[in-house]
Amino acid sequence: MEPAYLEGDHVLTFNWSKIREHDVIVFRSGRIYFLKRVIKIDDSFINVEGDSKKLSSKVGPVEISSVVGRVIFKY
Amino acid sequence: MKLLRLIDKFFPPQIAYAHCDIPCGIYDPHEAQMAAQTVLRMTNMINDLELASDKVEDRKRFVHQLSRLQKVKEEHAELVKQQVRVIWGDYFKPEHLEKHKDLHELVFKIMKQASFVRQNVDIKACDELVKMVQDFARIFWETKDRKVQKVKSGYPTESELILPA
Repeated sequence: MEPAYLEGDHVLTFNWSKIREHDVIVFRSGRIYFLKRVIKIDDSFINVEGDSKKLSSKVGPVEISSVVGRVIFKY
Repeated sequence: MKLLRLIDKFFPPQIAYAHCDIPCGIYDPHEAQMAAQTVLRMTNMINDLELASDKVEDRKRFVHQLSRLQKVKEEHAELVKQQVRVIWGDYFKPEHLEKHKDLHELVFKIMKQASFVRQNVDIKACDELVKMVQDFARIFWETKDRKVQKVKSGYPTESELILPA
């Protein structure tokens, strides 16, 4: 997610507001949490991508129910 | 910034990865098959659980073991869904769908079946899930122009795996 988010950054997420395209979200896949940007929302799935095309790999469509929250700030 | 990190004292952060650890382009339905087999195995073991007696110690042992089996069953049913979903959403291309028109329906059925086996203790349903995931694996390898073979898994489930020949 470089350059917006670098290794070691902390983020605070909020899960009360509706997720929109271009939001950065944290979601859970199995036991692992991921940080990605929302590209498109389809019914109950969200398509996400990393900002850095060189480093990012796809994780496939994400279920809305697996979203932890939308990033509201970095610290 | 340091002041804001005091937030961590109240809400300890979890690590979130910004890129997955699996390299792009490497997909394999093997883990989905293993997960489906695990669900079947756990369901068999749940069915085989016996309460030795009404004594508190035996009831505790029974509940403890049942909880462990159920936890693993839940995790692996979810893993089936995750593995199939990632391959379906990330690997398959429109040209694959031309040859395998039933793919979307098969994935939909796998999602529903994986949920069903979580909610129930049903060996037949688990067998069906294993078969559906085998079909998914077969389609996957066919899109890579690989013939497949059914191989004995060697697992206690005595089921088979679909592997590239």
